[in-house]
Amino acid sequence: MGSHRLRSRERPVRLEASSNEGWSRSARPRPQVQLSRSARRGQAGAKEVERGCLAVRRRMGGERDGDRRGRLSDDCAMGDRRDARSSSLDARQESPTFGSRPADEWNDLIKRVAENRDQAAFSALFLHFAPRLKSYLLQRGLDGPRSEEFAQETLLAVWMKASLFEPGKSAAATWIFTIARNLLVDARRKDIRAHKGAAVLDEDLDAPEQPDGRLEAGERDHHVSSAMGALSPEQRQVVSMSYFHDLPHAQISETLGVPLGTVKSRLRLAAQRLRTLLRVVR
Amino acid sequence: MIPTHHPAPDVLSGHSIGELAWGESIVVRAHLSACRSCAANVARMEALQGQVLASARPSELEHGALARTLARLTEPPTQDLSREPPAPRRAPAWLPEDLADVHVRPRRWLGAGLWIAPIGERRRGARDRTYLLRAPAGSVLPSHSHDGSELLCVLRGAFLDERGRYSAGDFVRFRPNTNHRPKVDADGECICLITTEAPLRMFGLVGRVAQAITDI
Repeated sequence: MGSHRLRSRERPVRLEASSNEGWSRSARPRPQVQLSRSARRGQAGAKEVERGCLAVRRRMGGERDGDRRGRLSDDCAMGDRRDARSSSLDARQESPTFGSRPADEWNDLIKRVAENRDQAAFSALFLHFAPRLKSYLLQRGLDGPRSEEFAQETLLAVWMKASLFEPGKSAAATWIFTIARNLLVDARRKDIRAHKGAAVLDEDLDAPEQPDGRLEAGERDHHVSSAMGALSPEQRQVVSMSYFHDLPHAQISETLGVPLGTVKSRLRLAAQRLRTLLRVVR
Repeated sequence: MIPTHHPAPDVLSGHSIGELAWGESIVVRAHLSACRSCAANVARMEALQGQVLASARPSELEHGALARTLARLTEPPTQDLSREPPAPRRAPAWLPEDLADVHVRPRRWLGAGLWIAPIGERRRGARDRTYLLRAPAGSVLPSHSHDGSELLCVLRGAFLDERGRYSAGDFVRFRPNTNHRPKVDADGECICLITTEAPLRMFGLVGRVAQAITDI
């Protein structure tokens, strides 16, 4: 709870910063009207038209932001709009609006996806968040196709993980961001394993353990040396060249005058043998 | 117990926005599960990114994006159908619950009570390694150095090295080219989650052989 409060307190700070861009408007601009007016001006220089278009673009983009910012920064004025949703001041502060819907509504949509596998609710989430994710990812430096792909994959993951969403813990947008972020991190590995929701252990990590005992460094050296001694001379030679002298396989092959494949298979067999020996010798 | 060694702010923010390597983010997650204050910091940074996302100007999606995604909702999962699902095993108490999605591969024994268990799939040509390391009470690990950085989170027990003592929940970043020789506390085993950017440089015969047979 403590951390949640902190988070909600942080929001206005962030939004103050974005308000510097001047998107805040008390009345919603009508982009089309503005556009035609500046077009009608006719005589206006190209520069002025350009400026007009820029302003329109900014307002179009800023329409929702301005709306949301207004609600957050002007608590009293917006109170009437929010009364329908909540009566407690605390809850109000923690329910900023995203886009044209209040945060609660996104939570409800995710809940409907989780509980009813509701495709209409999913579509609403998709239409709102996927285009924003795409922009967000483009801003983060991903190219167009990757941003598109990740936006879609993220929403697909929202569908699969909807039941894990905890509205009390984070805002819907934050939760969706963390899904996208995790996909990004996972994708840096070549293979993405589907999240299963449970650790996959190839063996029981607590069970059959070797009898505990300290292995003194000298003792260990001795075991390793005797394991090395148990290798065939050919194996020992490649192990020494590869592991201890860091020679590339190609160079070992050249030095010994044996094919590369032979070097590799000798190393593999030697490593297997060492593994077996060291497990036995203890 | 409250951890005393924490990730630097750049590591926490890197994790929050998803700029860490996969293995690094796993180690950070292990620390977060033990450290409320770092977890709260990360939650705040995530909330900020959520705000950035919420206020992003929508981009146009490809034609038919929604329809294609809807069609995929009902597709059966494609992965792992060919493979027998692994028998569920009980995760040990020291493995943080937040690491619920990791794949821990079979342990490789290096001697009595000393093992490593690689995490994640093996990838051809990858230089980074992420693994669990278990060392028995009182053991001294081979002296080694790092070409790249190493991140570590203690999951159980404690160890001591040239720089300090680290116990459960503690997070450590070893910079490239630092040389260290960890010694496990005498009164209990130590289990760490470790990720390295590049393979370790082991000193001495034992370390080299250990590396050769464990692929760390």
